[in-house]
Amino acid sequence: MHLAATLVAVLFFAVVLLGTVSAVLPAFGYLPVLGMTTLSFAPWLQLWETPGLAEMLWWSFFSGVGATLVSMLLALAFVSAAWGSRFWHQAERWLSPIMATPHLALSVGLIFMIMPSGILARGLSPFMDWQGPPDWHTVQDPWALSLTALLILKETPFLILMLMVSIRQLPVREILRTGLGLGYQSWTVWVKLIWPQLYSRTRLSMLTVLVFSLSVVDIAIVLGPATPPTFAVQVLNWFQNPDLEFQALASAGSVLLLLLVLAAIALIIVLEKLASSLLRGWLTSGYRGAGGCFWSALSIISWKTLLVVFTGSSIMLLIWSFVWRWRFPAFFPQSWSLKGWERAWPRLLEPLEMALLIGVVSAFLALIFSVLILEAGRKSQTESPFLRKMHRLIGRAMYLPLLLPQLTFLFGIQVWLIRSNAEGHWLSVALMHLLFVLPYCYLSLSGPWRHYDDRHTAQALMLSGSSVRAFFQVKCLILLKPLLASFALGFAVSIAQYLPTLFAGAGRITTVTTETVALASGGNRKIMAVYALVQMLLPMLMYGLMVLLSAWRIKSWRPIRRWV
Amino acid sequence: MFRGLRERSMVNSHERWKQLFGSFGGEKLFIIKRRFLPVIHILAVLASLFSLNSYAAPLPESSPMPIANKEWQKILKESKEQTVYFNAWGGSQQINDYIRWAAKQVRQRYGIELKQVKVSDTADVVSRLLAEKQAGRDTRGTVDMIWINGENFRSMKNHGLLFGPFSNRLPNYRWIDPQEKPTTELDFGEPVEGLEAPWGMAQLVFIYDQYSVQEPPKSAEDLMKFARKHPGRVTYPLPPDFVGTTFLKQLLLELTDQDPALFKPVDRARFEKITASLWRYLDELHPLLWRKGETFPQNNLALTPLLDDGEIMLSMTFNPSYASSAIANGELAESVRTYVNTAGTVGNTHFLAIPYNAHAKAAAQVVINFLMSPEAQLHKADPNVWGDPTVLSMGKLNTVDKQRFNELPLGIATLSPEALGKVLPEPHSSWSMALETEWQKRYRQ
Repeated sequence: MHLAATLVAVLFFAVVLLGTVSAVLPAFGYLPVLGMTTLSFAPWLQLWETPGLAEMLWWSFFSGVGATLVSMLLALAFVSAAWGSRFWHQAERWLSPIMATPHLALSVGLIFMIMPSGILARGLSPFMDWQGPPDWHTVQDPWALSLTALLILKETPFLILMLMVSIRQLPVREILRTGLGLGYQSWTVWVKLIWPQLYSRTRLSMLTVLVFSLSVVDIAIVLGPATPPTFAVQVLNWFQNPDLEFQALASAGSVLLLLLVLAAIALIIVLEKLASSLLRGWLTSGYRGAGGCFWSALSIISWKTLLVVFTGSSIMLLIWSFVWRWRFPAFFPQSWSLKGWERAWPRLLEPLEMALLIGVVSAFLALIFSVLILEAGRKSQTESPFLRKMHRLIGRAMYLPLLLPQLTFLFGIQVWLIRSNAEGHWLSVALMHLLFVLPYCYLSLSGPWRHYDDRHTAQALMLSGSSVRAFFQVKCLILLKPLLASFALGFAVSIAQYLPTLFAGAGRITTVTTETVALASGGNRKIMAVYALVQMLLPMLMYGLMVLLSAWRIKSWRPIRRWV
Repeated sequence: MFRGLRERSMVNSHERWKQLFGSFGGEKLFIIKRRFLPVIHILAVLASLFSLNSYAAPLPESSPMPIANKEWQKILKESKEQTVYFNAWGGSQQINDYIRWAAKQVRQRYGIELKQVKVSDTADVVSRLLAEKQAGRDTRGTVDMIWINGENFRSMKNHGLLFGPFSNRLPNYRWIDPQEKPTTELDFGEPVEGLEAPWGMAQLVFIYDQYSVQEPPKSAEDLMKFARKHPGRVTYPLPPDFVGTTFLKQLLLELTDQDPALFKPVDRARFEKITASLWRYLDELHPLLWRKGETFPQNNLALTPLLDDGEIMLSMTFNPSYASSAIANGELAESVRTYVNTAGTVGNTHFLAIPYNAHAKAAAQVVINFLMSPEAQLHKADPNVWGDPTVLSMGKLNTVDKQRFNELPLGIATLSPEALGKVLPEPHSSWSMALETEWQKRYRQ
């Protein structure tokens, strides 16, 4: 069992590391398969001379770091303001659907809201003297603001969830009581006493957000600046250029992207250090705080705005998919039709089936591997310290694919896929997805696994005499809810994958996600809305199905409520 | 028009290859990159690079002598039971449906099995054929028929990958009039010489809404006046989008009064002088454009919603029936119409060809002959089927067929063949890349 778990884990890292190394070598002119074997800095010189390089790097950096910091701040503020209020429960209800919604679908919905002929402008136009849609540069704006806004919209809920998980480990009630007793405003207690502890516990999650925001491609294509694009998009363009010469340049670009990510992480660390030394005086100054109500009202307002934009975007998708004619400046659609769906559906079927197949397979594999690694880790607790150490290392390293920019190692892996003639097969795509699905499944399961009471298994073992039965009939059933939730999460992660599908699919495998990105440039809003809506509904339906499955089971063709 | 998009990007890559590796090696290395063939194969390919241009075998002068009846009967007999693998871009449902219709017809009439191999990029097929030739597979090739034009045709012709001349000897070639449609004999400046058979036409047309625009600008000069009158309401697709580049060619042809040098390969030394008027024009036009010419819509399809919203007042397309189908799909208003410039607009022809190593050459010829028949062309031109304009000459058809073409429901915004006016032939294919590069240099950095 240790062997199997170690094998899976080692294979996992080996693939990621091999991919990174394979991407780094061509950056120095080493690409033997194309007859380039002498090391040189030529690709770097070429990269250096790329027009608009500084601009591309800056806007990537700005949107990535900006979105991360704002999201983190908003999430901390919301948790502080909502703790113990009805908003806490509201958040618990809302987080799953927002998290399950792919970035891409949400960005299409957001476009329908903020574009010059979007619902916002339509709502304003009766009060303005507009001849046509206003000259707003709200989508693909050169300052990457819409991209940043979308990242904030999508990452804040993720960070809120992470904060809500780690807050359970803190004696918040006691800290608050002490602080209030000493005359501090509760907001000040949060900021001075709880935030630092919360921050250190959710730091890793925040860094995954940072890496994701810096290296994201699909939503940057749809929503980000176009001329020049963000740096990650430019690197992808180089990779996709049929011209041989661009491969080395793309590799150098992907290494630079990695450096950009490292620089951003370094900046965050510097900011942390700076904050802790500059704010030390303030933290211990004894300042009791003022205006806490204002800040907490502001946090709740931003939370509400977030919900409004999220629901608004989803509703826009729904409306546009059924619209026939809706000219500016009419606030309501002029005519409705099912033709958008009729036209899109036959072409949508194949990418839909592919997405389902790949999603289910990769989520299922991820579930099995996660359980395997977790069980082995659990066993190692009672065995040698070496094994224990190793498993702790495995647990940490599961974050690896989330802390490296996708582009950097995916290209390296693709080279190996092509060599072994495995590109363009759905299984290769599913395995590529596994690199991102596995960490999420593992992380979501590790909590429940830790909290599981081993006495259940001990008892089952005594009664059945079979460790297999004890595991499947007792432990798995007790942990059924987190297992199903983790499967749904894995499926949602797989559905949202763009780059892995693009790279491993070699253009032959298309999913709802790749098709949506391709359509977004065309501008047929009805078809776009249908695709984005389907992409949004898939993970939600899977969540719904898993919730049903965890509460009901089928016996003799009739649903029966579960007792666990 | 979708096809145009794909081909455009591919043509670019070819041109880029040529710049980097000289005028002959492009396609070879193209394969390497795409397929990452085993190293040994690559070495073989590299070694043979230098002999490649000798493949451009001397071709016989085009011989429009129609095929003798006896010979045609022999071909018909031979074609029975053969399977034709037709490699065609498969991204459009309408086009795929039309090919399925044709497959049914040739099965019933000639007992030929026509199978569409849906490709996403015609350049891939050209690369594969080159690889087959390289590997010495001179018979029983995997491709029997290919949908092609422009740069791909030139590269296949230069590498001796084409069967023929055959097209101008097919029985149904008699309906073609190269005087009326010069692009049926000159494919992006490259003489066809019977190596490919004309299949359909494309022509640049402009789209406007007759409610907001009473008099659309029908020349480069009028367009400038129009843009000055309606600042921020005109734009064009970002080159190298196919339609964007075609728009540049259209302006260039009008501004230079169709300088004959445009139909020959680009002469670097004279490029600047010939194109000076174009850049002067664009320098003046751009500040008057949508978003002050700082950004452009990414491709021609993206102009449609902008036109519908009223953000812009003019749009353009390379498929004359596009506007009608956009109206039918609810993407544009009923009041939308199309027009062409008084001097005519740029157009081209797309073709069918047979690879030199095709297995089912006889059947492929029978299929191509059928696809050139008035009946098949009529069905193709039907906007409810595909809406692809015919290559046949109305003057050469008999009265019954002519009548049928005239009775086609054109679609509310589609111009009749007469109204489409004069087709300006495409400049030589090397001009696309040259114009795009220069445009990028001037307006992108």
